[in-house]
Amino acid sequence: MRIHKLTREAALSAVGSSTNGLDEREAQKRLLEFGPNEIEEVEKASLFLKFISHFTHFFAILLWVGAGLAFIGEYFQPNEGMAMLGWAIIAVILINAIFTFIQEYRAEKAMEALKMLLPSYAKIKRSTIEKKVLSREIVPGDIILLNEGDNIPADARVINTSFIRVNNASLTGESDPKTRRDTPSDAEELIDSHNILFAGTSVLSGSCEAVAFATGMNTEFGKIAHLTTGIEEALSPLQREIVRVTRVVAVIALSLGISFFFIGNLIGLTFWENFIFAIGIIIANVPEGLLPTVTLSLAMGSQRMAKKKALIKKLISVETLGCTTTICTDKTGTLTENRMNVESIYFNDRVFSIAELSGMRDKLKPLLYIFGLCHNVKEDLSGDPTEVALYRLSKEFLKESLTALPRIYDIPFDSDRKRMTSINKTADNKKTAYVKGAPEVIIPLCKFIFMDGKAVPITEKDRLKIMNENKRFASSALRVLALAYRELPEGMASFNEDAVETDLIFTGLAAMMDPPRPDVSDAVDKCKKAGIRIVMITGDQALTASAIGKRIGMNVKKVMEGKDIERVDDMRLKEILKEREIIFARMSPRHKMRIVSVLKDMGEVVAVTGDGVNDAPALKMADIGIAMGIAGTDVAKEAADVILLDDHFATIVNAIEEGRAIFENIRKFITYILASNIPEIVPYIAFVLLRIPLPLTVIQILAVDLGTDMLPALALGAERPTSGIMERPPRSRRERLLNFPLIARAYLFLGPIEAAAGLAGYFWFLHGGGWQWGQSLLKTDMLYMQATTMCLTAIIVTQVANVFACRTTTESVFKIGLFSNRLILFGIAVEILLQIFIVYHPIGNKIFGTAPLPFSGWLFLIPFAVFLFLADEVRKGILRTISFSPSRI
Amino acid sequence: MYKKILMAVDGSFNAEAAGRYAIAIASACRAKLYIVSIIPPKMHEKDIKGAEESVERIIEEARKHDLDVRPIIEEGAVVPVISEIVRREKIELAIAAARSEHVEQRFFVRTVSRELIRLLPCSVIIIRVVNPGKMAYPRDILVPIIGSEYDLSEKVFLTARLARYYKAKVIVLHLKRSITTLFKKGMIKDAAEGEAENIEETKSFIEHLKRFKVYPKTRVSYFIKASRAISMEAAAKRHDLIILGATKRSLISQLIRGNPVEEVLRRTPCDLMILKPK
Repeated sequence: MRIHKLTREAALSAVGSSTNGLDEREAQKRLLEFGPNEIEEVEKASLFLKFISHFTHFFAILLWVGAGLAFIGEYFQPNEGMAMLGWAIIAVILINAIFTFIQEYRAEKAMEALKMLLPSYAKIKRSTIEKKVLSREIVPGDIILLNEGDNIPADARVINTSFIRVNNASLTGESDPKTRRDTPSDAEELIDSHNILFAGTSVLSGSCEAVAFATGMNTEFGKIAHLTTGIEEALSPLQREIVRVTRVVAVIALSLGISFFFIGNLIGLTFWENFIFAIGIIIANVPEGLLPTVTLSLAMGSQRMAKKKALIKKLISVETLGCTTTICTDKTGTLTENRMNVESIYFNDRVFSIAELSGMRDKLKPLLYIFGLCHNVKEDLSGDPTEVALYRLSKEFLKESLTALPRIYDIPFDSDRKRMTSINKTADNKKTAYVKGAPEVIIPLCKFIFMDGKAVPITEKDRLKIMNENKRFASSALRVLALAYRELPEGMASFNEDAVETDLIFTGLAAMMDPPRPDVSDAVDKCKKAGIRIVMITGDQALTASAIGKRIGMNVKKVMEGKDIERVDDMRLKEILKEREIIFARMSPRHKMRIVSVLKDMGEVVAVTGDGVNDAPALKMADIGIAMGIAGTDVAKEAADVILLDDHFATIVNAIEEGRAIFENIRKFITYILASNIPEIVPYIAFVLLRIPLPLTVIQILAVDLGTDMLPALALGAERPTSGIMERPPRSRRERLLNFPLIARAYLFLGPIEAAAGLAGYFWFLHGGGWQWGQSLLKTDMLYMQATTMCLTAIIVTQVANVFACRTTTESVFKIGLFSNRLILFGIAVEILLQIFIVYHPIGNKIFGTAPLPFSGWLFLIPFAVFLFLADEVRKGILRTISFSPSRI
Repeated sequence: MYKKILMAVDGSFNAEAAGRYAIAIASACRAKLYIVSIIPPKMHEKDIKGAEESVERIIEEARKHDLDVRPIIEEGAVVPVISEIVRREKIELAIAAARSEHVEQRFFVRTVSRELIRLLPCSVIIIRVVNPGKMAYPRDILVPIIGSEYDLSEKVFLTARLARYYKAKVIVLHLKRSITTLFKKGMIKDAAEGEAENIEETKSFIEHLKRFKVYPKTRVSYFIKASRAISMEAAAKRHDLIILGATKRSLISQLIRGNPVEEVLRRTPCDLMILKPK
């Protein structure tokens, strides 16, 4: 037997207490036994460890290894610029880690937001003495004294009440007031019991005494805190891909390094020469600029999403949004406006649409008075959406003010009574009770019906007709309220509900609906074309949810309720979730978490919306948690990865589009960056195999990887989404960031053209300067410096063409407009300016070992750039002709 | 198994709350129940009286369940005296309550419950009651299977008896340890068809439970940390009771890898029983 089923005396005895409360000594003992009444993090996240993690993820480790090898190379072959390379790599790791940390550092305040819902102080009774204590000192057995406006500090059983009503929204999501009583309950669950109060909820009205039976993390509220802070976050799809990219790059780099070590050995080079050579090859293969470019690209993506009203809290979420396969969305406020509109009225034995009501002001007066007087809407029209809708209608039709009919008493609404009454003083100094509520509750209280301008006795036939109309409205998913009134007899002493709410005059029914937001249907359509599934999860009833679903274009075949979900195991739930579009109605927040968990297990990338405290666990569990910016609680916003600043479903879809573009763009700049690896490696190979002076020094490699390549790569990250991006399914989990077509394009097509340009430029200049094959040159020799400068410039010039080529994968660049990305033009300008600095400025010459080139040198290289660009255009044309899928390069 | 059970009380409400479970175990096993209160030297008179009243209350409750119950009140140091009573009366199972103040102390600090586990020559259950409102009446019992537990046969017996006594559902939680954990991190799900059969300990446990006509559900966790998986599952599914077996980890192992049982004891969102078989 649980505490809610016991009588109050048995409940007090069960927790070793009495109506006098615990004595102080016993309370102190229990504090040691049960611990303080406070919410605490399950596992405290160490800020230091979080910072360190940015230095220890896979790609960073690869870079550390590269830096280490560079320093080893410097030790064995000093003054080749290896040390500078090593330091440069370390600088990249540092800058990237600090930048990402600063961007993401915002200590997650979900716990703080949860704690705000608990009161700091509470009033209790110990040894008959009432006193105020810190909430954390409350123990099981304490008698808590609660009044209107108090936040409840612990889970407690009511033992004495004076019309107490509470708001359990933070726990259940339902904001309807609940009346609490002190009698035993038959409910199976504590949450459904009428005599239990929960920590983290609040008292709306009335007062009571209650005995605490659970405190701190052992309350129902504590479980939400437990779930919100305890969830282990898995790697995001992009993080998993970067892990794979790292492995591929590492394998290629190591394979090449080892291969050329042995080749060098075979051709008679010394061990150390081979070793240095291998290190050089390995380092040349590691794209040092990739990590900062990814980070910056995500940061820029998040800026663009902010402009589209989606605030990104975690950088990596930018790309995860793009691979969303399923959106689990709330209904009210996200798909709908959360603003009730009156659609129809049943009055005088007839149904009227709102349009038909004009000119009927006088006939409708009794109804309009109920609309205008029986409510708690504030002057600024804030309040319950149902009441606001009725109040607005009364203001529209009634020209006179109702301030002359002041309220003298009210019997408030709660979800058990399902009705509300306002008693107002009428013009002739009489008192009239205006009542509204659920039809099934109001109609039995009516003795009369308002018909043709007067009140006549209500018959069974009338009642049946009214209920049939109610059913008809409900089947169209309209929310229906019944309205009635009664002139109270003079001298009525007590306004209790039994005395007032009887012999009412039934006046009419009002049928309302919360309409869908204007562009939700388009957004749903976009999702369908984009292969994204929508799952509606709502606490509302099935009929309403289904009607909204149909209105917004969901092709719903299945509607399930929360109680149905509880009866099935995860296997069966997976079968159910295979339906394309599905609605879950009458759902509680823990159901939502379960659905998210099962969808993830099915391999879906799940985005979930939420606004309540109790949505926090589901928001954390989802791949993308999306909180409402306007209606959302602080707890939900803290737990989420994305905040919708306008609460609009369509914003999610726009953000997904942006996210998809990010993945495509990351691939573009990976292609761009990897392509320049070949012209960096080939000179090194030529140097070893052909015994020529080294065409490209290590420091010059650095100038490309960490200098000139960065801005154009970033600019590629800012490309607009390609046309049709939302007309194909989300990328498959098997689709890799780095796949064979991308590597082939970068390493076997674009890269070799650049390498050819580099060597051609190098040899052309050497030959023109009188160099003979086999002749050695000093590093300080002007001819040598100019020749290496030619090689370097060749890479830069062909990279200019490459950045244009990489703007598309199969589409012609001319189709999207050659100069449509201004950032690329800016990047190229900076790239060329940098190169001019390296080539012509004395400081640039000193740092990079370069020398000024004649204009003819540049002219020699331009045809290579043009060739690269046109060759790639031809390749794209061929691909389009043989109709490769757009996801392959 | 368990024909003589000892419940140690110290006058605290916490111990009385745990006593309800002791009564349930004794009823389920049809055992004789000894309610033992040890009066340490220099105990305040008020506390002595409190302890005696506590013993009386538990005895009264036990008699309502038609149990053969006997009080023992002796003076001395808690652990040695209980140890002596266990030997003398040939107790098979000793039950004690854990207090929050002790639970917060690290595993190498000697508390009464840890000493009882370490020194008593019988099986020991340490019970932590966190929600007295549920009145020791679980409807869902979560049984995690951690590697390095002692022999599971007593755990099977205890789980089966309690499940049948309370008519409660049993959920066995297997804590998966494999490289796939990294990519499925943070998930707990129902075991797939035949998945539980692939894990020796879980398979054996379930088979033995079925012999007691208890048919559990199996769930699989992909959490990196076992303790987190257990507490998350209990919080998410609102289980009422966790039955854990004490682990055999050495001091060094605990220092390096931690001790999931201790961690769950600190963070459990529902009532917890830790069983250390003889």
